[in-house]
Amino acid sequence: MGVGRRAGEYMLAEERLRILRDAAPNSWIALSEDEGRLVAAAATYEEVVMLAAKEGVEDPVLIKTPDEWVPLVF
Amino acid sequence: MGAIGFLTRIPYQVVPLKKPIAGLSGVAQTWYPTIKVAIIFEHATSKRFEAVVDSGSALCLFHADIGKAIGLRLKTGEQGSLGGVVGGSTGEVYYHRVKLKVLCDIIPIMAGFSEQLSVAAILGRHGFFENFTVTFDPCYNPPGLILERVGRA
Repeated sequence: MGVGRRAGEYMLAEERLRILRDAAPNSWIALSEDEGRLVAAAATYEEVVMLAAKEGVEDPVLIKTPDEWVPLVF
Repeated sequence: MGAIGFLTRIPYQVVPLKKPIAGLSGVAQTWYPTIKVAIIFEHATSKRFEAVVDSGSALCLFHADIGKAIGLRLKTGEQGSLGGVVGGSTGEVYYHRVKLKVLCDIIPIMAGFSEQLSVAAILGRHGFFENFTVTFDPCYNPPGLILERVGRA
């Protein structure tokens, strides 16, 4: 069982926060395969996948941003 | 039948907040228990995306964009409505059988798809929690969740 974050495996929390804060609301963002950098952002899933592929990232990790960064109750 | 899988610890993911949480002054960020998953429909597999692990949700729900991208004709699925803990509007959701790819496992599930989902996906009791023992573990920094695949009786 892994414990904590291995170097390079996950994006630094501060960098992730910056990316999410800067992202457009209700949009999709694509991180590189190792989750270390932002590679694309777009309004739709299909668009962000296409943009990531253009950047040479075929297996991105996708995140959808909410309308507003408020505490969400699911 | 007992556990047949292995334990995987996954750190929570931090998200920003537009303003501090009322009652918790100075808290400008929070975290969600999320894991990276993909879904499969017929021969099409989605890209990996972050899904919120949520025992409060009855079912697994996915943003409609993901379903459409792997070839689902959403409105051919059984229709239901989607509501939250706060009263008010409900959203349309369409249910389809897909496969959920979690770590090394591929699990057939009934999944709801909605245009109105605020996140990419929510992993709920049917389909997810009935296949994994989930431990929310605050003992490390960052805290995380521990997943253990279980067998079915």
